[in-house]
Amino acid sequence: MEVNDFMSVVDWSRAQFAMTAIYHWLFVPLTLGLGFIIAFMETIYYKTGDEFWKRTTKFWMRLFGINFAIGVATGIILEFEFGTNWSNYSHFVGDIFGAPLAIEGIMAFFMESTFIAIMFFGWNKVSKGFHLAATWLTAIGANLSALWILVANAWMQYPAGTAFSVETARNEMTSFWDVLLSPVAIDKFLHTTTSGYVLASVFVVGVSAWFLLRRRDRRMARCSMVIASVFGLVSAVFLAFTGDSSGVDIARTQPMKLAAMEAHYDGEHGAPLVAFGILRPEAGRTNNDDAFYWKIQIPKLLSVMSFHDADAFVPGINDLLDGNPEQGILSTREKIDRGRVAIGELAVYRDAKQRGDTAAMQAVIGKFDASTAEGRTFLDEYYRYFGYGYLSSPGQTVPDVPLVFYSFRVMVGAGIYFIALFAVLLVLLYRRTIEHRRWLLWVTLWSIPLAYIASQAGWIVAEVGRQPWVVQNLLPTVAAVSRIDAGSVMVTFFIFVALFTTLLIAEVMIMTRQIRIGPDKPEKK
Amino acid sequence: MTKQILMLIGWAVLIYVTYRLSVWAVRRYERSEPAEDPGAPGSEPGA
Repeated sequence: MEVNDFMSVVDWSRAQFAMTAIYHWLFVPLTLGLGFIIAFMETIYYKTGDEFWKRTTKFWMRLFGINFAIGVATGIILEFEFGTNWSNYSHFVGDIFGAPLAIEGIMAFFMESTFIAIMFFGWNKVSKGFHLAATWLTAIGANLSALWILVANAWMQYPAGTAFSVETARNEMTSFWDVLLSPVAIDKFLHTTTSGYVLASVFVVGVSAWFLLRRRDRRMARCSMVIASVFGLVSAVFLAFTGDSSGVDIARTQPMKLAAMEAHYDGEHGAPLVAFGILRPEAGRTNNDDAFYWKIQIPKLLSVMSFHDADAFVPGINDLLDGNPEQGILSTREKIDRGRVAIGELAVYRDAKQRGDTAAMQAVIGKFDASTAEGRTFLDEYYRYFGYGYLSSPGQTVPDVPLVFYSFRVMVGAGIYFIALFAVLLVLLYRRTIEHRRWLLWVTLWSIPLAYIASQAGWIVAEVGRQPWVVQNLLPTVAAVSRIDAGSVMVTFFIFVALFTTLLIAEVMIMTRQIRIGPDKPEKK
Repeated sequence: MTKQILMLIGWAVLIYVTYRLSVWAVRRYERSEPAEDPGAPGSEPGA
């Protein structure tokens, strides 16, 4: 296989996975948040017996169901792609990555799927209390499902609770609890699910604004807007806190991602945060002074956000590439050399095994044994850079800076906007003047796409920002991809584009039709 | 690890608090809501 063909496989496989994930994430966040909003509404119906709340709950439940069904289709394809496109990755870390995925499927998804059936078809067939429990369990199940998927994703960003086995050339889980309760996993779960709550709240206030603009079903629209604005406001504020926590994680575990997010080229103490700026083309970006055409900076804020210390040193892209001995940062070239030493030990082991040289095999196994001093030294000085050994040049460790930089600002800017939007909506709802502000209702309606763009931007920061790594520092994409023909990945890429676009168009059409139909009319007495 | 367990419990508390807050907010809103909003344009078909 030619090198160019091989690179195409990586590129096409990345494109296919990214495209599937982007489509999947169009459906998931609404499920995460709308499930709870529906549960809140049905609880009011359960407590008051007011049929208005039953009709309101059923209306939003219809939209939830459409979204859920189409979301599942894209999610299943993602899981298959681990095997088809990323088989080396699946071999290398399947023992760890498979566990949370299996729990997600067996526990959370089954729970969600079982109770969703009662939620949709159980009205007037089961008791009100049992139906309410099914609705809550569907919402909780959807969020638990997200927990396990995000635990798996977080492990790729911060591989904890694992040990490398030379005999199998695989990573094996040493502590389930370290994987589940790693700081990155919990921060990622809280940040991601909360972003889903904000998106769902924007969806509900946006659709409610449409009803108010059309001057129909106004009580349903206003009450839904109150509930969603409260849920959205609290979630958006919480989102800011979890974002801060995630920032600290990134500074500690993925310094290159942080440097790319900030287009931060030269490390410094008391680093400023670029609130906004326009980047120069790549060739012109070599240091902090020439990286931007213009920028607005907030002094010391990057150090504060990264390490909660105004004078902390934040390494830049140049420090990470060239090394900074003063700060104890190795150059990427040095890491590549050390990674190659670790990979070389695997070749030594394979040769020894072929020769039947048990002593040589044991010598290599000893180097990867964390229970001995020699093993710990080797793991710390060489194996931790294992993935670098697959790279051909230090420049490969720098992600797409403009994409990550601008995506981060879209995400944060939209988050601040949503806090203001929910607060303004609540004030105007209580003042009874919301329906006089028709321009605001239009703004609220057109905020729905912004919520989706912001949510996708967050994932772009997380995933593009960690390139070239599939598993941070241990496995780059170039070593994780399946050895298959680039043409076949390309063909399936376009098939999936057509399929998912059709699904998306179908979802939007069915959703808008159901929204136009509106909630059930009250029965005449 | 204790911090992470507390954060997970915090997530459950957040959902509960938000639920209580939403219910309180909408009930308060409904209590002070006139049967038909006199200042608002349009009518309420189906109400």
